[in-house]
Amino acid sequence: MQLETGKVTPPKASPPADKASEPTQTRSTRLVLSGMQALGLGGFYVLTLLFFSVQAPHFFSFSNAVNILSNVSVIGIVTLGQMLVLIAGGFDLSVAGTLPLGGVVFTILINHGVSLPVAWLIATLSGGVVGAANGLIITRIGINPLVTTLGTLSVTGGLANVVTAGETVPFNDLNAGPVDNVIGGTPVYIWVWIAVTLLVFVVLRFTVLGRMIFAIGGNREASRLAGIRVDFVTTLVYVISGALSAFAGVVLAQQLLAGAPTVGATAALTSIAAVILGGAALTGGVGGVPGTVVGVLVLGTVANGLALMQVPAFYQQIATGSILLLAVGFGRLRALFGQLGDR
Amino acid sequence: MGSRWRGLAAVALVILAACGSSGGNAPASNSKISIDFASADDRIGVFKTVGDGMVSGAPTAGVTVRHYDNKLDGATALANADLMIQDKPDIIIDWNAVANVGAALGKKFNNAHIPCLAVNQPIAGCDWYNLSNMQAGVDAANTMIPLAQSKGWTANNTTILMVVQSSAGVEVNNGPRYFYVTIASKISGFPTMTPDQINPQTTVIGNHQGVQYECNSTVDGSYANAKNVLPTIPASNHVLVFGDDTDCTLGALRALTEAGRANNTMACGLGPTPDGLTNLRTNASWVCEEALFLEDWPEFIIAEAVAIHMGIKPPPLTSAPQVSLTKDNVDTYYTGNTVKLLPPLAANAQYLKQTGILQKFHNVQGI
Amino acid sequence: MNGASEKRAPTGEVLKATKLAKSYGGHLVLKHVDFSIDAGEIVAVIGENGAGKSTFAKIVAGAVLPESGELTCGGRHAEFRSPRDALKAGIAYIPQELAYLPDVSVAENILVGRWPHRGGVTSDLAIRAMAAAEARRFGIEVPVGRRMASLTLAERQLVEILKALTRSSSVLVLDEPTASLTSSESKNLFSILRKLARTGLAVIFISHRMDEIFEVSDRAVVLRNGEVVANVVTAKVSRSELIGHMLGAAAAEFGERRDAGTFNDPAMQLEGWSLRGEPDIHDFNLTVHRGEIVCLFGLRGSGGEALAEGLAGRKPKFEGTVVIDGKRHTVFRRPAAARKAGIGYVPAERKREGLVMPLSVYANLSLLVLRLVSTAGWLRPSAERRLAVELRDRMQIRMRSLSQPVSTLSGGNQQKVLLASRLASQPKVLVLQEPTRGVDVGARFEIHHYLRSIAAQGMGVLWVTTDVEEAVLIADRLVVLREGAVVAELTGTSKTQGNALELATKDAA
Repeated sequence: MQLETGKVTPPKASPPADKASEPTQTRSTRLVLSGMQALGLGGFYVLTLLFFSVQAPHFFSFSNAVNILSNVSVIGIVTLGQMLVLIAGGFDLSVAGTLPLGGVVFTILINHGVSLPVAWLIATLSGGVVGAANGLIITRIGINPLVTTLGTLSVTGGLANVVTAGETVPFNDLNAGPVDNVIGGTPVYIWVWIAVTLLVFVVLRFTVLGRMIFAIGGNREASRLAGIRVDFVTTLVYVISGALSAFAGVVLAQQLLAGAPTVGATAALTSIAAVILGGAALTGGVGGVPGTVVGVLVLGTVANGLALMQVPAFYQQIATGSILLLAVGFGRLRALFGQLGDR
Repeated sequence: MGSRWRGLAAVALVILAACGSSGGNAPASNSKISIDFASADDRIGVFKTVGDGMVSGAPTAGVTVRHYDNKLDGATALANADLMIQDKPDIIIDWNAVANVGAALGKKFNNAHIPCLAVNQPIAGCDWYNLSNMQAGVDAANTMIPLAQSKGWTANNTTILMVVQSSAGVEVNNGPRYFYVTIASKISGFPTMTPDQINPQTTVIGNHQGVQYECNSTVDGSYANAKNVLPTIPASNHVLVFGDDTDCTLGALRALTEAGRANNTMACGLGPTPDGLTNLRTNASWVCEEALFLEDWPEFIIAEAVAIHMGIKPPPLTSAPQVSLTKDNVDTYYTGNTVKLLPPLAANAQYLKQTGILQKFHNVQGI
Repeated sequence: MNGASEKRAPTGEVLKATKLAKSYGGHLVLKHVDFSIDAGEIVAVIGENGAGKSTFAKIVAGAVLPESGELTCGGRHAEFRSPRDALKAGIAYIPQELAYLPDVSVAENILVGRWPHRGGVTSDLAIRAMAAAEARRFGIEVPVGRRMASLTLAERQLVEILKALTRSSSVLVLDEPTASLTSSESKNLFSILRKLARTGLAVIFISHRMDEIFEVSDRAVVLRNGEVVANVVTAKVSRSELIGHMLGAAAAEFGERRDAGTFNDPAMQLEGWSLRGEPDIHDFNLTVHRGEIVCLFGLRGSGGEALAEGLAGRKPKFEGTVVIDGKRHTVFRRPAAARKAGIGYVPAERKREGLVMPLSVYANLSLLVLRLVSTAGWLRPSAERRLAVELRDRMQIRMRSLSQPVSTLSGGNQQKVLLASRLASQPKVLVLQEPTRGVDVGARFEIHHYLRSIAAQGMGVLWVTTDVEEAVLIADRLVVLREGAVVAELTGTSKTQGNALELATKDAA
């Protein structure tokens, strides 16, 4: 009786001639698993959409869809940076500090007459500098990412407050927020988010840097032994995260028409939650842009739906917390099923 | 990776479908005026009271209210603004407690041509209802000055202790600021300061005749910081303390009492809060409690909203009811911790009588 | 049924299996297995990965229900719905992953569930005394008072065996018992097994190590593709015949010895390598020639590991120089430097140090040569795919698809991926640490074969291993290390397991 290939190593005869051929006996299991995965987050999202469409007034409308997208644009950009860090095997809590820092630096610069693009660039770089500090402390001094980024979070938060004397600094010129403009009924900053998302997607999927990020997250030591400059890549990832977060802060400042040192309090946890929801592993080496985007959308949609339903604030907190637990729990179930299905 | 794309495709499909459809349940349009209200932060007691009051007071006032929560976050306030505009109510009332983001909010409301009323923090392009922290500070000073003078406290042996919350913006800290300015103008010897000169960076005025520290939001926060600051104030000095709110003042008083300086202290709270009222009634050092009657704001806010809808143009600021509660008059306005009576309307709030709303609540002196 | 030494040793058939069949997910793992074992027999069940031996063991142990076929135990039809049923019938299963209570004493583990008590109250002394008595009875020395987790793996295994014996088991099923044992621990285990067999215990053990099969078993049963293809008395069969049964190929290819060719052209020369550490290495010199496979063999901690890691750039504390392809280098401070100099390093622990488990197979294959499959930082998927296909075919790596995560491959195929990824960078010298650890016989053979052909093409290979069987099989020159120094170089007829072991262990405790 012939046994299918792939499960039992046949006696050494001729080399396998064909390219990767799909198995037969395990195809059904793999389909079920992929189905569960797709159903997992996308399906959950569709369910939430259906739920809110029924329960929340105005939810199922173009204007509200725009509202949701607007709402998540800023945190969406932050989350992309967080995703890169998580895939590389780290954590970045300092995004909650670089977000307001970027906005504040930008505001002060344009209030002093610096041109918009230059102010934007400098503000973004300021986040990058914080990221570089994170990266160097983590790789050279060896303090773990959680503690390091917690430290830089305090420093940047304090910095933002010092620079603004603790107050929100308004724009002198209330027309200095181009991303607040609307094209085709949608604000420009949604498209900014989409553009950044595409950029990060391409880098992660198609460049050597992206591959190295996955590698060092998946197994740092193996990557080191393979000759990858793990310290450099790690630092670079934190620089990108800090820069993206500051960039998002500039976008937010243009929405608020002010640089507020108090924004972003929940940015760290929300971004991490969105990335995990999107299928990344806390240990690193796994993750991707599409999943992360859906994760961001899920969190934003739930916040929007609950607000429209006028659910009290505490219940909203419970809801977002529960979603994260559900998502992570579902991920664990997937992993368990995966182990059963593959052997 | 295929699974993630499937998830994203599902999302895209639904959003596309949503483009084609009209809205869900729109609020039933009837003769009642529809108001959308975004409260400052429903997690914090004081703000939550107003939010709850708006919802519970709506039937009495004969209006409908939809209720959002700004969560003390500028970005959330922006998102809520979008949602409220989407509702297309008759008036939007927005309490955004984050200073200086009002311009962005006002821009949205004005572009959508929906009349708006800003509570507490001003929003460009919207009418404004607010308490006057400045007035509270002035009133507290005026209550305390005769008491201090009768005890023979002078500028050489007294410290004015201000407890502030810098991140809340200039307006909120006007209370302690004008507390100092008023006392300094009426009791000679205190260094004269203009209001602008007292800012978040201020810590000491003169020879410890004025001291300012950060409240840090809670009683414990204030207490902790107070303990650090007290040793810098000469131990024999009398202390006149006023904070952004009662909790801030309570923290200071606790530290002072622990240091054995309660006899040498006069404190005035701002709220009022149950703790403040209890101290007012029982604690010798607590000489006044500025009452802002926040719980009763809903009826005034609704009244102003209705006035706007009726076409009445309110003045630049409509002042909230305020009074300086003392041991003598506290029971006129309060039974226990419940408001019994509200003081007469301020001059710039007289027009509210025309709406007939306040009359439905039967609790304002003079109406 | 008990195997107590007081009674006369029982005889006769204790376990029989007829026409066992089992499938998983539509795949027939066991097709038709007939098996029997008498009291006092030690039978080895061998076969490649996927041949069905683990499944067979689990059925016998009651952990898995067969689809068809029946088990007869002590002459009576037996149906095991759970391992407890099997235990009650006298069959004890010792899996590779031991299940024990780590924080509790050895004695309590031995007597778990049957602790002696008076009215519900146990006493440490009573437990220990009873456990010690049992240990004496079966002649297995274990420290009954110590905490289980503080024992070595070998000791814990013995405790598990003792536990099984005190339950009056008549059949012991062991799954790859020596996988993680040293040779002396294995020897100890075997003498205990032989002693127990003499008292009537029947032992089934699963293994793929030829030496052990020949050392301890009376009979060998070979499974291939879920069927029994051979059932032979061990004393009457040769190693190559057994391997032939396992793999189904002509025996001629196996056990081939390399011609002792002459190797003149040095690929790598280590000069004056010294390290202060465990062990101390002082002025170590070695030349590996092109086309030569040099094995560094020694007990764990004898220095081979340290040298390999030093060559890989993982031990910057080394002193010395190395000449590769005519160029002299000082000891490499970083793995990247070693790689640049032309060393292809295969680390010992493929999961921990070698492969990136969440990544796909092709991503692991190209890990060292991302520069080759990219332009200016942009990956070229077609180039990467071509490289992966070429490597896969060259090394006959078996997988469903190149995109599947490398974690889903079998151990042998994973090792091939690791090896292929190093070869992709076209090194001048290969340095391998334990390259066939945890790899099944078929894949092991393929890796050996492939490395021989690589060497024949001109690469120098330095192979560090603690597996003497493999060292003798693969090396052109077997360098025996002891305590950080070379004690002998064995070639040709002197290259035997006996010699190697003796030289490696002389003066050891």
